[in-house]
Amino acid sequence: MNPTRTELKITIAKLIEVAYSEDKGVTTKIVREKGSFKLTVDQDGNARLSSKVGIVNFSASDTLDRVGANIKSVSVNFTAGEGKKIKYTAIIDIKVAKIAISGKFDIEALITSCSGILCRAAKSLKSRHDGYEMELQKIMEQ
Amino acid sequence: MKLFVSLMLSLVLYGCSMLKTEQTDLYKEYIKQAQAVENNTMVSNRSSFFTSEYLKEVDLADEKSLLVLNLSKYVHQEFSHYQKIEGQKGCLSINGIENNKDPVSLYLEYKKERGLWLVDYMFLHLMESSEDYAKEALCPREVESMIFK
Repeated sequence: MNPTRTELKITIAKLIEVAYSEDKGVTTKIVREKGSFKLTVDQDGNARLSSKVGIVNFSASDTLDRVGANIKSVSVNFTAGEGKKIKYTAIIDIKVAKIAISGKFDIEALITSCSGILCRAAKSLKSRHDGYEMELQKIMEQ
Repeated sequence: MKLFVSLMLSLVLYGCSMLKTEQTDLYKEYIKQAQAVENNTMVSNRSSFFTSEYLKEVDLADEKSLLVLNLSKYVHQEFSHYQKIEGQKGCLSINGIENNKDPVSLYLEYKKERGLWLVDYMFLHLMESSEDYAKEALCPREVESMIFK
C-alpha cells in the first residue's frame, strides 16, 4: 500500500524528533531561530539537521525503514512562517521518481510533544505507538 | 472533372485522418497506466508502461519497491492535463485530487522505446493548495527545480 500524505508528514516530524533526542540543545537552537534550516538524509541513512547556528548528525535508518517506500534520500527545506509556524517542502527520492510534500507545523508543539512521557514511551518501545502517532498527526496536519 | 475533384478531396481527407491517428496522446497512455494500477494488472504488464531503465529499479519481491509502479493511485480524480513532446521525449502534467480531496499533481516523463511511449521518470507533488497546480506541460525535473530552490 502506498504511504499516505499523513504518513509522510509524520515521518518528517519523527526525523526532527530523532535529531532532538540526539542533541536537544543544538536542535532547539536550529528550529527556534527565525531563519531557514535544512534536513537531509543520504542513501546510507545518515541524516543532518543544519542551519547557520549549528549541525546535528544522526541516523534516520530506523525511521525511514518504517515508510512503505524504498527511499534513496530526503531533502527538506524549512522556513519561518507566521507566528510559531514553520513551513517546509520535502523531496523524497525513490530512485526513479520523487515525491514532494509541503506543509506547515507549530515547532513548539512538536518540541513539547517530545519532552513528554508519550514520546519517551514510544522511543523505548521502538515500534509504532498509536498515541504518539496521533499526536504527531495532529501537529503536522494543522 | 467532378470525378477528379472528388478523388482529390478523398485523398486530402484520408491524409488528414492519417495525420490525426499519428498524433501522440500521452494522456491516453496515462489512462491505460492508471487503469492497470486500478485493475491490479500493473505488475504483469509493467513493460508496456515503463522503460527498461525505470524497471531496473523495481524488485518484484520487495513490496516497497512497487510504489514506483503505482504513483498514479494518488490521483483519485483528475481535473486537467497538459502535454508536450520534443522528438523522442514527452512530458505530461496531471492535476487532480487524492481520495481525501487534497490537491495533487503528477508529472510524467516519457521516452520512446520499442516504438512505445514509456514512462522514464515521475514526480508526484502532494501540495497544500490547488494554486500550485500545473498550468502548463512541465517535465518532472523542471518542476523540482521550481518548487525546491
